[in-house]
Amino acid sequence: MIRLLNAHKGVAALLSVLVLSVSLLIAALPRMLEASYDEAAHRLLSSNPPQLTSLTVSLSTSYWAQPLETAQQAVAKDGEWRAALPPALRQVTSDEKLVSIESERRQIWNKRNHHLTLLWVSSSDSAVRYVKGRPPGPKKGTRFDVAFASSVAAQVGIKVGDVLRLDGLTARVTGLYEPITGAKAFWAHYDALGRVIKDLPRGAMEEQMYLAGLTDGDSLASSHTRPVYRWSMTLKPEAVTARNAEAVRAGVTDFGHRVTDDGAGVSLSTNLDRLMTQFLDRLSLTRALMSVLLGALIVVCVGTNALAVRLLTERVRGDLTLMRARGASLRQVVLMATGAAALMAVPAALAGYLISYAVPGPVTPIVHIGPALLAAAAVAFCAAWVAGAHRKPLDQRRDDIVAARPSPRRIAFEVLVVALGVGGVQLLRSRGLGTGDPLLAFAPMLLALAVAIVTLRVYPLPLRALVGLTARGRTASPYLGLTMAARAAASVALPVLTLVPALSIGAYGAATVQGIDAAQRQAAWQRIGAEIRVEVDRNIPAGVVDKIQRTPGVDAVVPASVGGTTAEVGFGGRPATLVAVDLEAYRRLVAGSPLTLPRAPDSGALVSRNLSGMESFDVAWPTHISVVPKGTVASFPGVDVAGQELIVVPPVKGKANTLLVRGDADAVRAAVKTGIPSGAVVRTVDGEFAAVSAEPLAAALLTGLKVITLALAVYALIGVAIAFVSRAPERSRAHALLAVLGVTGRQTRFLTLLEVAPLLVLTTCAGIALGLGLPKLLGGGVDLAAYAGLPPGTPSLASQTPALVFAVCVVLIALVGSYLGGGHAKSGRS
Amino acid sequence: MPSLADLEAQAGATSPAFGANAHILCDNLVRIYKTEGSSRGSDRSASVEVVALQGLDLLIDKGELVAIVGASGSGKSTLLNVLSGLDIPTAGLARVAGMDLLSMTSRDRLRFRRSIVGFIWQQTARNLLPYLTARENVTLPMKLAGRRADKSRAGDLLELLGVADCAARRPGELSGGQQQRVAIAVALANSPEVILADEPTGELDSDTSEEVFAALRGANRELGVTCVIVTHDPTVSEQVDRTIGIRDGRTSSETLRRTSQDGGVIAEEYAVLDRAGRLQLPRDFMTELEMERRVRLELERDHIGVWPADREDEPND
Repeated sequence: MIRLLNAHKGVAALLSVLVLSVSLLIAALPRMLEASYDEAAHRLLSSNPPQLTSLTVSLSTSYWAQPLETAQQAVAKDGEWRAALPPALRQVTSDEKLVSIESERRQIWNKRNHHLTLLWVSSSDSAVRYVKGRPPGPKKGTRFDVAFASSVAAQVGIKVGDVLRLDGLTARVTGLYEPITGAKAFWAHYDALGRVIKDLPRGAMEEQMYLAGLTDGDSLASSHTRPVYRWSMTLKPEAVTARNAEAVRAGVTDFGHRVTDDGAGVSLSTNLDRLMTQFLDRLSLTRALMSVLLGALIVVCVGTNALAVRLLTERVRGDLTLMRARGASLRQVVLMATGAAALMAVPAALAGYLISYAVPGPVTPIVHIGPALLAAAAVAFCAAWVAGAHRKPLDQRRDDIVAARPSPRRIAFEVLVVALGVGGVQLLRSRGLGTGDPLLAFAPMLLALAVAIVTLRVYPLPLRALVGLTARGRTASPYLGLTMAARAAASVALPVLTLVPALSIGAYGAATVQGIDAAQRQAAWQRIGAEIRVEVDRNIPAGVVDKIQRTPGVDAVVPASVGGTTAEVGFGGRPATLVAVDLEAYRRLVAGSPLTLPRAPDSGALVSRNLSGMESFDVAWPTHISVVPKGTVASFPGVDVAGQELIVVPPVKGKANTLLVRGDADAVRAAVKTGIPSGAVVRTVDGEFAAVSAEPLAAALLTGLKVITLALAVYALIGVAIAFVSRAPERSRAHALLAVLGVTGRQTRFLTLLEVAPLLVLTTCAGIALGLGLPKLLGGGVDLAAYAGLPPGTPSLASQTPALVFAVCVVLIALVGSYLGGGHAKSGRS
Repeated sequence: MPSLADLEAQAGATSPAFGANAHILCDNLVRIYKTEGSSRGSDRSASVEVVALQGLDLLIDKGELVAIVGASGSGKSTLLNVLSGLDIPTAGLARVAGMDLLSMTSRDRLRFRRSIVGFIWQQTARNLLPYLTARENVTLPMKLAGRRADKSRAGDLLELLGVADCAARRPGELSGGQQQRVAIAVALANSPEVILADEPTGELDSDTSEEVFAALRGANRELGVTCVIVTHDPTVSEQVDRTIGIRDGRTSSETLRRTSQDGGVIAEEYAVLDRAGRLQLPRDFMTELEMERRVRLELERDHIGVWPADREDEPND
């Protein structure tokens, strides 16, 4: 067996390298993607404040119930809540106890516009360090001890020994503390203990100050301040992965059901379930999209491996035929060939699997199963192929018969694949891609196989027509080349079944990459509103605008005022966002970008639909102006209206807090730094695009798409090369005969080109047609806008060019290779 | 006049079956190659048939050295493939060493190929695995048959065939003649009863052909193996005891050779008369006498006269 392989070491090495690379790809890619999914989950949860992601059980005491009388009882209750945590949640929450008792907020009567909340937190001893006075002690009657952060005390003018008079009770300041920086979870949850919260409530004339002070837990628990008990279980963001996210979401719902008791005043508050839902929605779409492409890659890889196995079996055919004639049973021959294939495929698959461990990322079942399946498929194909070829001891292939009539079994199988492909896509259109149904994820692949089968059936028709046409021609080369292609028709099944899925899904992948890129760029333009946006927290002097305008590298500047105002309509008016800008100048500034701006009315303003019915109304910002609606506008680039009304008016002279700039970003930054030393923020489309595209799920999807698309192209080319080499001996004989008849080397290369071209052109047409049609066939199942933060259903700006470029590149490389390889065949070196 | 009892005994006695004692027997053998259909041409569903053997009769005794000659496409190789168990005849009777080739199961056929027949092809490279040494090639059929690789027997066979010094060499290091002699050793590895050789000297020069044929004849004489050689080579066909000519899928002639009293070889060519009384006249005889379509036969006392039909006697049909 080893000598058999040694005699055909070139092909054996090819099979080995192919299986190794495919196995590495199939094992490493899912790991890489899973790691990216985990990173996305981690980043999403880390970017949110811990108090939003932690599970907080609240117990509101009522007048008639005082369930817990001491702080100790409250701490003990923490264990009960944790025992009720579902296993999935227990794994992702930390053991740190954060139990608090919080009084209702009360006004400080001897301090105008100040309010106080008394708070006890279980772990405050390790989170604060007293710098003055002492920690609060037990209450005496209605007098509580209270301690404040030294910064808060300094800000509101409180000192140790002060007594604050509240509704029905007093609070004596006994100490001042400073936060200990290590207690991150504590300060994330109780940051009110370290700062003064200022607010201007609706209808209030003066700003209100809200303070929180530490007090004694037992005193608070036994008081009649209607305290609220809170038990916070903080989340370990790194423990939440793509694999347990669903269980975590379900766990939150389950935990909520277990602990919530409206009668007893117990409720669960967390944003974790909402965040997990948001993550899982995008994850399922990403996974589904990757399954489509990974499925295609696996099919193409299996096809390419099968081509390599077929090449190996063709090369050893003579040896096996001799063994069969010398008395080897079919089992012996099959074992010999299969063993040889296994000797190359199994260690290669194992090596690919082991090398994949160099790629960081969690191990999913596909990492183990993928390489094993690929090796098994290669070996099984070898066994089936050899068994079919050597079923009879004498090889009775006749050269004068092009193809036997296909068996009814084969026709039934082909009909089944076509029906599954068409039916699967129909289901996919109605149900969407993100349902997690494996049949739906493989539906595009099945459709690609169905198209390949139809291509195989159609392939002889144009070929026959072309042969008929060229037969009447004067020159012999086209006729000869196409006839050779027709003679090869029987062996094109495997190449077509490999090439069509590779080209179609590869083209779809290329179009998707471009679609996501376009969506992200569109989102970046939508958020910035111009190539460069300068936002200043005050009015920009006209001289500074002129100076920036004259800066070398700056092409154009459009000043604008963007800010909140109140449209004075009805009682109390309506909050609105106002944009004062020269729309025509703005249009010129962003010409050629993905932005679409409304046309400026001859006079008056553009307003949102709710205000469009008004004849006119006034606004007070940026200056008092009267707005006359002349058209409607729903959104405006770079402006987040957040449910408010939108008003777009012509520029207001001398008022601008925003500059919309086209030019060199560095030059603009330098000019802004000089002209506006502080309070200016410069944002660029490129910077925003980088931020959008760095989002882990989108980045993972893009990386995966690019790798798979490239791999599909490479394996498609390898498939073409193997199919080309498979016919090399026969081609060599034909070319040698033709050379004797006077065919030149150039004509020989042309003949080879013509022999290969029909297969390539037809499969490319089929592959491209399907690849370009897939986005339409999949319908709204894949909304790429989600990867750019654009609203769902935003029309894609993706063009078909990348898909066409992808396929044309693959075909051109294959054709050039065939043309150059034709010379080798003639010289007998193939 | 035979008596009634004699006639009854004669009627009751079973006459020996055709070729009952022959080592190789073909009776009215037919082989038709058939494909399900063609995808070319207007008649796409029509089956394509090539009749390679058209009722061939052949008898070869045990230990005989027989050459089969015939033009290209006459059915020689098909006959050999049938006799070696590589191919299954469409109809008729074929028996080798008592085994009926038409009724054999695939398991029997495998056993037949392993131990009853040995085969040698024309292409020297096709007979041997290029990456095995000569000795390993000889032991390969033993291993394939599930037997122990008998290296001493392999050595004996290589010695018998005059290539003992090549035992450790691979086919690429051997001359064409040496390769064919090793191929004969491979064919003899499992002590077959019949050796079938398809143009074994076809790719060799005359001297080397002589050596290879001598090796075959040696195996025939030393081991008593029946040898059937398909050949175009006169150095082979003129040195065997019997040469069988095949034309259009039927045996047409036989040449028998015997040694005369003065030591010379006398060759006599016979036309073959099959069991149905069919006879193939040599083509050159027919051409010479312009025999076409029909001839006139006249039964004489000790022979049958064959005469060209008179033109004027021919009916106008």
